[in-house]
Amino acid sequence: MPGEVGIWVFIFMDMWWFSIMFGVVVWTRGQHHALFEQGRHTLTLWAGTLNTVLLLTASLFVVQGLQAIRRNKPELSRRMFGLAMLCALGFLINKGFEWGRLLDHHHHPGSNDFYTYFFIITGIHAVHLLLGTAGLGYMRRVTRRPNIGRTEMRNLEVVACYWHLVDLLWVVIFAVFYLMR
Amino acid sequence: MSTLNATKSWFTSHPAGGTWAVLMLASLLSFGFGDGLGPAKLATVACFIVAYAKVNLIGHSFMELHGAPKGLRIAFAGFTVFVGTVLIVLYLAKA
Repeated sequence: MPGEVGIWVFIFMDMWWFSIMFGVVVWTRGQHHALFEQGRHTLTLWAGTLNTVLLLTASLFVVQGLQAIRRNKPELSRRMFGLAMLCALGFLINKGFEWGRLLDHHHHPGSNDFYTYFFIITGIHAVHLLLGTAGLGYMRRVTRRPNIGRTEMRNLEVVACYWHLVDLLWVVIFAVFYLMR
Repeated sequence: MSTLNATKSWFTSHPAGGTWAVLMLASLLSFGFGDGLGPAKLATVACFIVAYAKVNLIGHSFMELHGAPKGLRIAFAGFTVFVGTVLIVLYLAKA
């Protein structure tokens, strides 16, 4: 099993929680179609796509980093985790710009149901991403250790699984807010 | 033929890179659907199918579920199919 049982329990619980929120958004959108469509057009599709590319690329770097450490190549591994962190930073900057632009246009969490769900869900996701980025920092630090034992290896797999969770949650967030019409 | 073989060989030796390339293409396709490609209802259903296929692929390849116990693999795949289907049904019921 990749990582350990605990992380998979967390992953399934988190996916359920987000899925319930996605279901609520899809249902509410059906009742206020015009409002949600109007809200969707205030988002920037290319910015959402860029964030998808950044997270998927970060995930690739995490996979490569984990494989490198298994092949006893700590230098390469450190570089890969560093690149993943840069992608995460890019995501946060892009998201920050998008939030800023929406707020500048007076679209805030209290404006209507669309923005309430958008800011809450992307906000919770951003917190996940920050924790994941801290996890990537931990992974980089671990690669500096002279000996990486079974416990450290398991911890690296746990953090990697968490990172991929952040990635897959965004894939659905992107579909629900940016693509659904 | 040699190009095909070279591509096949690259995907075999770089499974994660191959997954990433497929995910990128799927994202590009989703972008097209979100940007007005095809009728709205059909495009949205396609977006959900592509999104949950991507989730499944991330789990299988990046999260290394391909080597995980069968129960975990089935639970993950079952979850994505179930939630994806529910979202599509909710969307179509209210569209």
